[in-house]
Amino acid sequence: MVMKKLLRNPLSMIGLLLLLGFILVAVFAPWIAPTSEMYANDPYRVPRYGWGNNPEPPSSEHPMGLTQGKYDIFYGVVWGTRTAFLVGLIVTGLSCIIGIVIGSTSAYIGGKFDEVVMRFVDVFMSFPFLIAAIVITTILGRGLDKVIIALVIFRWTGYARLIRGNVLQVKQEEYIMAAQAGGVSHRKILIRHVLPNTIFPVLIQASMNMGSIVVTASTLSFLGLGAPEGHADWGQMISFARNWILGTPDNPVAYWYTVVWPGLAIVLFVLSWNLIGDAFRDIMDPRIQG
Amino acid sequence: MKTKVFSLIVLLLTLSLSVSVFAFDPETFVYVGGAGGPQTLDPAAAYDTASGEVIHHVYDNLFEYVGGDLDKIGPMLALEVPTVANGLMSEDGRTIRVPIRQGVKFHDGSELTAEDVKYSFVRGMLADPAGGPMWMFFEPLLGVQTMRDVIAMAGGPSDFAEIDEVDPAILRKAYDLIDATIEVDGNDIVFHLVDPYPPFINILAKGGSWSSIISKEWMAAQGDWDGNPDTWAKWYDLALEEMTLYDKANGTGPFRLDTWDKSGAQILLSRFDEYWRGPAQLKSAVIKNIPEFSTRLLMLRAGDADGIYVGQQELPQVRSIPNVAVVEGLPQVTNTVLFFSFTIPIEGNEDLVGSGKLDGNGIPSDFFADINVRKGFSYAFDFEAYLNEVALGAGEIPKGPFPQSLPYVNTDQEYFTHDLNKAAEYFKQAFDGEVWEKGFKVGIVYNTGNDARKTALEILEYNIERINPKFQVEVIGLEWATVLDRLRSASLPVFVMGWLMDFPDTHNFAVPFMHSSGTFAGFCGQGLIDLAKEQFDELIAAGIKATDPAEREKIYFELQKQYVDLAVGMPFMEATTHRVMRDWVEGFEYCPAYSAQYDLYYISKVQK
Amino acid sequence: MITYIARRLLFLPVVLIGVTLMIFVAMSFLSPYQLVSTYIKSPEELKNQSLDDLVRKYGLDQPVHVRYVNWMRNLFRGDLGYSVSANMPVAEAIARRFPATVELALFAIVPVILGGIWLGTISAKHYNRPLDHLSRTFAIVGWSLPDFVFGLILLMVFYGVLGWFPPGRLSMWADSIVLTGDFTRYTGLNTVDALLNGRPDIFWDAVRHLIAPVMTLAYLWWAYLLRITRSSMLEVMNKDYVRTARAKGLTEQVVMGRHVRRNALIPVATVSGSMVLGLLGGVVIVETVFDYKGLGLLTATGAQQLDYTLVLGTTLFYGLLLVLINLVVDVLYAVIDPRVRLE
Repeated sequence: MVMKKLLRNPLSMIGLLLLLGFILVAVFAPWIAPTSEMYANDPYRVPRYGWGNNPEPPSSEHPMGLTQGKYDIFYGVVWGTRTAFLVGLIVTGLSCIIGIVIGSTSAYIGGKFDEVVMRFVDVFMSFPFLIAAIVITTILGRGLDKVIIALVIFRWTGYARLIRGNVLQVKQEEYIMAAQAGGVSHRKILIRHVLPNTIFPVLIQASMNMGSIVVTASTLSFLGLGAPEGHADWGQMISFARNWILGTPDNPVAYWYTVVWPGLAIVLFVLSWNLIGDAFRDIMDPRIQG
Repeated sequence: MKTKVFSLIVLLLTLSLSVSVFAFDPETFVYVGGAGGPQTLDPAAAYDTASGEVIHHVYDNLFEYVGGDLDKIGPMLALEVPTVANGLMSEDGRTIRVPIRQGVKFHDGSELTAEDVKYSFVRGMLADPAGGPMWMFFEPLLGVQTMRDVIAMAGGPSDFAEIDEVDPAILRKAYDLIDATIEVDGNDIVFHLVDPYPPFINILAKGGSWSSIISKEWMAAQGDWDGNPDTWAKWYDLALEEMTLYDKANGTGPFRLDTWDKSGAQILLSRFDEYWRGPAQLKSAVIKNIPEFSTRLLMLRAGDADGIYVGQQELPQVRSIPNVAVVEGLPQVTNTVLFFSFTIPIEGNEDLVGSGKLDGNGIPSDFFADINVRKGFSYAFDFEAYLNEVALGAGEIPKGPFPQSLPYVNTDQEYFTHDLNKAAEYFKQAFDGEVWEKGFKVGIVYNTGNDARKTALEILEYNIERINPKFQVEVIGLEWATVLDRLRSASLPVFVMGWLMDFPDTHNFAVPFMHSSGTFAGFCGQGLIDLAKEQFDELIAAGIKATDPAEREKIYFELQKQYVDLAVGMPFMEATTHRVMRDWVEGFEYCPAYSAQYDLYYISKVQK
Repeated sequence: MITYIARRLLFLPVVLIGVTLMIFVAMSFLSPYQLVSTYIKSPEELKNQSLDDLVRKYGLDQPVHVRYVNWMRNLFRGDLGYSVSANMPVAEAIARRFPATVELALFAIVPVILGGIWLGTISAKHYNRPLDHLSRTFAIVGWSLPDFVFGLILLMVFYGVLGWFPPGRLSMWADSIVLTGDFTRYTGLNTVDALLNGRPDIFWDAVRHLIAPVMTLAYLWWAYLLRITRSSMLEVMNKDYVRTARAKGLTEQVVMGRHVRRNALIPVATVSGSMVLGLLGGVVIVETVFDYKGLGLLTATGAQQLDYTLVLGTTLFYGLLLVLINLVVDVLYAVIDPRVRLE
């Protein structure tokens, strides 16, 4: 039903097609952009063609050109797709799990326990998100794993709150009361009865956040706190373009390829999620059912 | 409403355009740096380039480099340069008399006296803030490194936590020790050195922010130390911001410090009209700091900045801008070196040393203690590729640890070249052939953000892995904080660092690179410290004490040869620098010893 | 209501202690010699210094709990400590940088809300028709653009090519008047101070520097407001009284203006509260790209230099702001909308 609606809407249709494209690129990355022998042990390392610094325009050998540091843009964009999915999925997955476990347990148990947990959540939410992420990555050091940790630490709270609200509602339903009266164990009730009825909106919400997670991760890369230098990562590819974006005075777009390709990749990737998400919200929003 | 919003926008645009009409201000110079603002403006504490930049314009020194030439020292606040020939320097080089110029005015209107000069140095030594430059006075005058050492000389403890723990009598004695080294004799200052120290005059010359001359009376009026021998401890080793001169200044230099606008990251200077050499041509100057290169570049293009900081690697972008002058190939006294740690701790260091054994999956603690390994690494590096492709030709390949622009450097010294066969030969001999047979795996480290250093390591990686498929090198970027932490325990097997001179003398490179107590020895492990104690320390001590140039040359040639023969480290770059400015900037003078990017006193702006 | 406010305020110390404690816990991962990097900021600054002396001098080897207690003690004396990266006391740094952030937020909030509502109204009116898709796509593209990409592009176009909107907060000439002349800083907001000092030229200069960052922020936030406006308008449009109004034969303009938009804007008003909060927390990237010296840039720079006194100070400040603004928004909401009850 939902899928049908998504397919009928031109915006979400475009989003789905884009996403499909990205999935294909990610899956077939080793065939689209084969790894050279030298870097065989680390395919995520973008090959450099020379030790210099200047970008080079697209050529037959390097269809998207070379960015600052002579890194191959095409290779970086293709393998960067995998990085984007990786970061997006892991961060979403982990923060979702943590959020669901903490949020649902807290709501189900309720009382003082719930109160304490929620204050705890409040504390996490009192940090400006990006600054918190900067602090964590600076302390932990550079690397995608560190970025993921930083994002998870400050992302789970949103899901915890969301599921808590839902569980609090469901808790009052008669069939839960009945199960409790019937002596079914709390864990069973939570897993069998409560979660299936509350988890769906959280999952939707989480998948819609994929885009913003990828943007945040790339923002950290832009600030020099993300992926290690030379790792296939769109944010870093854009940060390579940072010093070249102005072009030369007589040709403002002299280095267009350094920013356009990775920029396009990240914008389209995020756009695809946001288009789907926007349509999803329309479908889910009870107020717009006209 | 739509139309209202639209007309508002149009209004805003027109108004903004009407004020953006470009105004050329011939009397204000704007320099925009990018590597960070000053840490402090106190000459006794400042030890970074950005701080030196500001201090340069506000204060004067006793001497200066005439026309920026490091070999030509001329008087500034002194009347004459002391030499043995003019009788101002004693035969043994240990007593140096400096007559002080009369009629020089401080910014507050008071006149410079010999007493001020003495106060400047004595106060700096007594304050000796940790991490500061004052060792440059302790070493020649007393043969030690810090005020703590002087207190120990006076019979006190050197490991006190707070200075009030030390007996006042001992503090007084420590003061007397320092006081005795500098004497006021009428209008002259007499320095008494513990041993001859040929570059002492250089330490006192312009470019050395530490030897800026301050006003004693003014300092006392600000509530700082007034010269009382018993109260100095109150100002000892204060936090930078607690020091009086942290953001205030009263020098004799051509510019006054108007404001250090810290939240705007800029310094405003204005001309000092009573400057003893006559007022500068510029009326005011602004020294800003903007980390984002694109923003700086746009300011230069728009003419809002007269000069900006541009990294070597960004130079190609500014060469073609109309009305912008790029001055390249300016010599510097600096080098960049690949260091090896001779004794690497294994525990907690597994990300770099792997198994910690010579089994093909790591390296043992003493891996680089084997000279053959060091030579193997050194011959594997492609010096030419780095110079031409990464540094874009801006510099020279070194001949040892001492930059070739210094005196007493053997430019004919035989040095490493890119030779994989030789490298293979040495690797085959290392650990009696075990290295070659079993291979190794090592993580080599650069501090993140430094692309050139990363590339240098990648060049090394590429070449070493070509020698033997069992050799595995991994280039690892670590945050500067982590690099610093692990350097201290000598945990980085291979790392890249540079040294920018304090004063132009070979000694200033011999100590950090080769002395057992030098800056880098500690980062290279006990193995190197032992080697240095045995082979280098005595020579270095002899080198600085020698007053005869021929003798000094012999000693430093020998040190240079030993460094290369033993492959202690691998210097691979002596970089030149450059300036990027609008072409209306006139009177640019360069001196390798100056932290200031532009010597504003000589600068003027003439619209073309 | 008073008990409600009191209870919320009672919770304030909990948040503040929690926030600062978390930073100290994070700090405990750092060794004294990592912390030295606050004083020796780069390899170029590593000279003939003793790292041990620096560690001893600044007490970097003290255990974290000792430092926390010391910090707390100073806090109660009103001393937030000294920030090495900002070169000034933390309290002063916040006091100087916060007005800049407030100014940016104030200037941003107007176009963000107006533009968002405008786009949302178009979308709602043309629900599921091309104009709806168009305005939504336009907004979602902005939402999907990383701010550093869009900001740099704006900087290039409006400063690099056209020369209209320079980076920073003020032009050099205006800066020198503000810093050294007879210019009184009443609020720290350049635009307001300029008007109070009777300097329209400085006012326009300040506005000129605000336009590009505001444009960046606006485009990033429109999608969010569009969505809120659109769905609440659609909801209202389906309500009986609107249908009645239409049936009565009122023109579309009157229906929209008088009935739909007014009622649909209540949720927008609440969202604006959290948006202001987001803006006040500092917009790190926009401030970085446009060299706009606000709180976000300050904190981000401090964090990257491991300047923990600064990070502690600003997060403490932000926590305070968050709790207070949320409280104000909730209370105002209850005052505006009698159906809402505070509990």
